[in-house]
Amino acid sequence: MYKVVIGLEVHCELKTNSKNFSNAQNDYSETPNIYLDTVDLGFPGILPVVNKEAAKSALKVAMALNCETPDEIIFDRKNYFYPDLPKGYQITQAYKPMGINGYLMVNIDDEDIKVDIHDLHLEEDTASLDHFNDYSLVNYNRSGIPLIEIVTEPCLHSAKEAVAFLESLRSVILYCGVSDARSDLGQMRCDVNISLMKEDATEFGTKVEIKNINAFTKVKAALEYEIERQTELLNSGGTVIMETRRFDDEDMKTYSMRTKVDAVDYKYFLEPNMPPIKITEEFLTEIKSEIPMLQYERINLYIDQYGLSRYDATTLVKEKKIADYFEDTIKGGADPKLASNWITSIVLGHLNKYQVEIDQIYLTPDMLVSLIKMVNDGKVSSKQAKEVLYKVLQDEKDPVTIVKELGIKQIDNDEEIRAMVVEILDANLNLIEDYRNGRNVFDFFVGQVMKRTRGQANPALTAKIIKEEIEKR
Amino acid sequence: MITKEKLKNYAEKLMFNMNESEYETLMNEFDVIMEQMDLIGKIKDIEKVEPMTFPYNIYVNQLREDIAKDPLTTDEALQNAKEVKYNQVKVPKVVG
Repeated sequence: MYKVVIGLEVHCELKTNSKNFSNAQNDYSETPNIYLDTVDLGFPGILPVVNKEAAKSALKVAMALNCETPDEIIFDRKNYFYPDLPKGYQITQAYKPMGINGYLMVNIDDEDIKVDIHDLHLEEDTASLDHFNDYSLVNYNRSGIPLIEIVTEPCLHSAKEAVAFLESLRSVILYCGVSDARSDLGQMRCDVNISLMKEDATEFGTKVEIKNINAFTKVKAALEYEIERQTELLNSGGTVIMETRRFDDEDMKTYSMRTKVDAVDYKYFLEPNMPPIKITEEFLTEIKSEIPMLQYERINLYIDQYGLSRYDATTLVKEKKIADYFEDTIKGGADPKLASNWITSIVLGHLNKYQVEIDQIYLTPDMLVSLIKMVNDGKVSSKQAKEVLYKVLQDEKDPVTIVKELGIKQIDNDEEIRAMVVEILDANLNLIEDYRNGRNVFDFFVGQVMKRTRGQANPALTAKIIKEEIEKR
Repeated sequence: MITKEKLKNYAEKLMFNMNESEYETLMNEFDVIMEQMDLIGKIKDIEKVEPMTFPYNIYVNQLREDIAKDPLTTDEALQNAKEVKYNQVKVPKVVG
């Protein structure tokens, strides 16, 4: 058996208005070559100037990943020759990135692992290429879109860990609000480094890099294939060669692209077109104050403070908007467990069914709080509350109005219910005998009361009275 | 040492197609550059001097506000391209 060692390089496009070093629009379009500026086309004469929002976003994620941040921003040139790179170099950060030495806590099957982050740097995306039979076409819309690259240490040990990390990282990026991080649009993609070593070895094995995988499921498949390939190779006495491979999602296999012998030397050097940019303490403090509580912390809070299950807590934090909604109901005074139940079952079901966002529905956290209070006060049974909730979502009217419309009132009158119970028991003497013999007929009695009151009897009170009346006999 | 072999290797990696006389010129230019580098290397305690990346010790505090404009039209952007197809720049096929 071998120990698997994985390191990831994750690229994520930032959601800014303009590109990283020019005023051209940062957007996706089916129409080629419409978001253009001289800087992004590599035309001479105009100098690049860093986008403030892009710098802020990169620093924000760096801080959310517990990185040390720099006191100045410096850019470098990564030189290589390819048609997707009109300047002949990519502006990136090789020596003094936006963040170094960070980490992200990731929970896998109820266990926490700490994933070390080597660095986070800000760079620019390349143009995109379309390949045809005997030519290629270049579209520069993507050229210069701000991109952050997050590089982990080689500290992951399975495909499962790698995917769990990617999911957690994606949530950090989404919570920070700096990108939509949609892998289907290529907004988030990753390079995977993987090597195998003997359990007792002290040095890493030879690593293989798999380039540019977009979906997390493909990362998993590529890693699984590669672990198997390298294991078989090593077992049969072969050696792994250092190379770059690509993943083919048709047959789910990896293929060699180039070996490191003919690897490109990028000849990094400082970008002379941009003098160093001073980062002030105030700027960093301002950015830090904009980082919300993240998924990992919220899950722990919900479990430890609110007594939720990990499953429910994880469901609630999947989207920041939903987690915020849940927290608003608690701030409004709702019991966390009840609020969690209503949200995870009915509200999320509604969002899913109608493909809407939580901030688009009529039901506000305050309304949910008032409905939960009605249940707690015994004014509405939980079964009725469910109906009310559906109606609020459907008819877009507040719970108080719906309760009135449905004619819901709860019968809390002891005498009224008791009279009914006595009558029902009298008519079912044989069942009382069954009850005493341990048969489960209690719910039948409750059901009879509910039937007579059209569900309006207070269920707790009804149960109590039935018990008392049976015991009397 | 810069050798012709090394230059040929770089030229291939950078996808430059150069002829023999161009290599000769480049070799001569490198001789001069290397000589100058040797000269700099002879300066006393040079290794203690931090490399200077900008002529002036200046910092910029200003970052660009994130406002989008599209300064170039598609036609303007593509007018220097040798060949254009479907409003994209046509280049020789780059993958196998």
